[in-house]
Amino acid sequence: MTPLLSPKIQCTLCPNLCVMGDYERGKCRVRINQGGELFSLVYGKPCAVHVDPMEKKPLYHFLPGTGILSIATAGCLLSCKYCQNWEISQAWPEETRNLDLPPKDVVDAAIRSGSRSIAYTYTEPTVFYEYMWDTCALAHERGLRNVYVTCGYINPEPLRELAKVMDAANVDLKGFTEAFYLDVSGGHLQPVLDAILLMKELGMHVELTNLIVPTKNDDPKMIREMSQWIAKYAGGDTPLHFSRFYPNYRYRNLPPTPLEILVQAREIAMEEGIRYVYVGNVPGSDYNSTYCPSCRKRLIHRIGYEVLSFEIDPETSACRFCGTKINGVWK
Amino acid sequence: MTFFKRRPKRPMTGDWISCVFFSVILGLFIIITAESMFQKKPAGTIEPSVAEAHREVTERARIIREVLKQGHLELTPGRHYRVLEGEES
Repeated sequence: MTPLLSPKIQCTLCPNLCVMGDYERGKCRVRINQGGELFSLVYGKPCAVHVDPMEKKPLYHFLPGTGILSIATAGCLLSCKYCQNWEISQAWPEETRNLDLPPKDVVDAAIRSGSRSIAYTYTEPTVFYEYMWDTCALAHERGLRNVYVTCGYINPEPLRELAKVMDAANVDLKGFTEAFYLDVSGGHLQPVLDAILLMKELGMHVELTNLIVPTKNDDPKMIREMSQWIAKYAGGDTPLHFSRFYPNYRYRNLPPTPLEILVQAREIAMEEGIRYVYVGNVPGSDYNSTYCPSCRKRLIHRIGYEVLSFEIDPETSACRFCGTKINGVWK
Repeated sequence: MTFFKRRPKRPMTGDWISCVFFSVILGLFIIITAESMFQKKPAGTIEPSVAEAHREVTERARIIREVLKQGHLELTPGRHYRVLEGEES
């Protein structure tokens, strides 16, 4: 007998594992069950399209100084209380002003703009997985690279499939306690750690970002534990960015992160064996530049998002002063 | 108020001046009030604030039409899900 109502479905894209009845959407707001089938509502409908410098992603060890076409649709898997893009990440696709830009047009636009790669960013790109995957595949065919700027909240199977067409990722490791993830982001820590390790295992270039929010995740003990985990499991050559928080969304009551805390976090991470640690969202800081871990000379001089000098041999990925190998994709 | 006092034995020049003066003021007041109350506005003119709101609504409608024309809520088959057999909505 044919059932009167459509069956429920479970989205297995991210660890939220949303169960959806007919015409219901997942937590991301952009994936819907219609008649027992799952559909994306944002395929080819980005609400943000810009050409940014690679340093803005931030990726400091991946094609530095190049332009990157960046796209996003509405929606997110998490609900971070300090989100800097909450107007689009916490919006329904009906609420944003969207463009009609199928994958081919994205790739054409990237080539026209002189970009060498495409970033899936601003909101959480996992929510527009199908659109991202198809664009990535086309971009590879046309000689472009792909960059995944993500919270790392994705299940292993879709991540394995995505890694076939994705070259690099910046994962936002928001904190290092389950309580922080539950309270501030509405997610869990362990799936993010698993995703970081899987990305490394699958050969993606990975950089990590930790946005330090005063009174929420600025405990030196937590920063040390996080640094120890990164050094031990992801590797000491994984670039780590400590990013400055500015009051936004539901945390407008908190002050911007004091610079001393960011510098202290950098020192802790370097003590624990991470070789490339940066301070982000602080234009003009010396800690935006890349230094050789052996001879300590400045290899990439950055001011803001500008690259002023570059002392790494792109052919050998080695320091031009002492020959030490520097982790990254330089050409 | 000399106007209301009866002084039959004296000339009434001052009273007449006052009477004319107040009549003119009162007349002007009645004319201005009546005109503002019963004036018919020419067709097609709208108060500035209403016009502004109207423009805003028209612009929103235009955006919505544009977005709808683009197929804003197009459904594209998604990947990575499973059907929960035996669990109807």
